[in-house]
Amino acid sequence: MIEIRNVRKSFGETTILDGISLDVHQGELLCLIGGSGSGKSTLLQCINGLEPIQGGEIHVDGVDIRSKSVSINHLRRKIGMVFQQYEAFPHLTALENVALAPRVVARVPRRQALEDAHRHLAHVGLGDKAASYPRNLSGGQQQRLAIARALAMEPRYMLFDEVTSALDPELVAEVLDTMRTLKREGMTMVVVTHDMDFVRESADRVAFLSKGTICEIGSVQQVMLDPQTDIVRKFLSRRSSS
Amino acid sequence: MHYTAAWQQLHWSDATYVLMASVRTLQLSFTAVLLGTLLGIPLGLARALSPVMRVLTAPLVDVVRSVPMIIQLIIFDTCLSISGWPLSAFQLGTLALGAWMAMVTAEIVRGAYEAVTPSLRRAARSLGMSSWQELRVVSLPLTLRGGFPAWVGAALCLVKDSALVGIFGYIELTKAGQILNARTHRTFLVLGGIGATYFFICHVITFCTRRIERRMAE
Ligand SMILES: Nc1ncnc2c1ncn2[C@@H]1O[C@H](COP(=O)(O)OP(=O)(O)OP(=O)(O)O)[C@@H](O)[C@H]1O
Ligand SMILES: [Mg+2]
Repeated sequence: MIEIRNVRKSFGETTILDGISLDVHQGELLCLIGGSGSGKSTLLQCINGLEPIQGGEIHVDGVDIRSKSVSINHLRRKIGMVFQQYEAFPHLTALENVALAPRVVARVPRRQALEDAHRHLAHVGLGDKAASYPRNLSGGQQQRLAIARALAMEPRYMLFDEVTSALDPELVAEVLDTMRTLKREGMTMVVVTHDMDFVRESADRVAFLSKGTICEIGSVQQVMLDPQTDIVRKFLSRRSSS
Repeated sequence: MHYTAAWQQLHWSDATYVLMASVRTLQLSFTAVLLGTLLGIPLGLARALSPVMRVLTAPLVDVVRSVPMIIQLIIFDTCLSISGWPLSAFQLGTLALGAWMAMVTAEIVRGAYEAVTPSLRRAARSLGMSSWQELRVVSLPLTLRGGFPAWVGAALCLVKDSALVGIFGYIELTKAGQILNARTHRTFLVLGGIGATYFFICHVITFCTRRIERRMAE
């Protein structure tokens, strides 16, 4: 379980997260939605310590991410992250991309790491692309590669930050399919997205972020179909009309 | 009464002389490039990673890169003889050219490191890599690959600049050309041939490095 308690985050003078409290339960798919600049990406990056927080606490499986006794690098192995712009390592083949962190971080022997990498590539439907370099892959393939790369560390949690936003429309489905597969397999996922269809269909819970706070959180029914606040109502009507 | 020329004709043995001189040009260039690269890569990374290092080393980098090589050689030479540390012309050339190569390499490395996007580094860190691991397996390989073409350009520049060490008695290609020219006065033939030899050396280096570049780009 990920427990976020009263987290505050600012860049210099500007406060981006202003007292966020949120639990992510084992096995659930939590969608984070909200307007542009509301701090969704920032919140995700705070969870795995890529952004330091100025107040509050974040516990992952009961361990404070800022605790001195557990290295943040060790904690990050539990938390996979996938980015909007794929961020595949351009100098490595798809197979090496996936095998790199297990070899370097978890010190898995080379042969074993490559074997596992083949398995993870096949899992996201890239079994035949092992020898390809990222620049020779489509956006959808690169994004699935990024998912395989994160899965290779055998994380307990996966964070997705608008992973389909940079994709051509016809490539979105393959990435969403991969995410649905992960959900079926019981992965705990936090998904930042602007794709309301995906939210309606796949989310267990939805949290709406606005002005650095969570202004609504609950099931899809509660938040999407019966929003309590004007700001969510406005946001949703704008989305559905577009 | 016989008319005797003040100068002598070219001999075939002069070809060997030029060949030996090219070897000496290559020896000097190779040593200086090696020294400069080995010093320049860590210096460039230090400059890229630490603002303090950047400020501290800025004067050195700027001066060595902008003052003409001939002046640097004379200053080096003078300093060394005053300090009672007389070096051979080869050692002097290696030091001065190597220092220049180090500073240029450092700037190339810094630029190439900064061209690796922070978000790619973040992605590596998100997998649990420490900053050193990230540097070793992601940023450094990308930096070396990105900086390689500019580094080759610097090395070619150094091969040409090595001609200046001839002034201090190191008989490399250009100095050998001057000596042959003084003896034979076949200016066009001799200096043309010397120029062509430089061209050949640089051409071979370019040819080899293009292949490496292509292999890296896959
Ligand atoms: N490194 C940074 N330095 C300063 N300000 C930042 C930095 N990163 C983000 N911000 C600011 O923090 C705010 C929240 O950014 P964030 O990227 O978390 O928003 P978001 O909800 O993910 O938006 P989007 O939907 O556009 O991705 C924005 O106003 C942004 O300008
Ligand atoms: Mg964002």
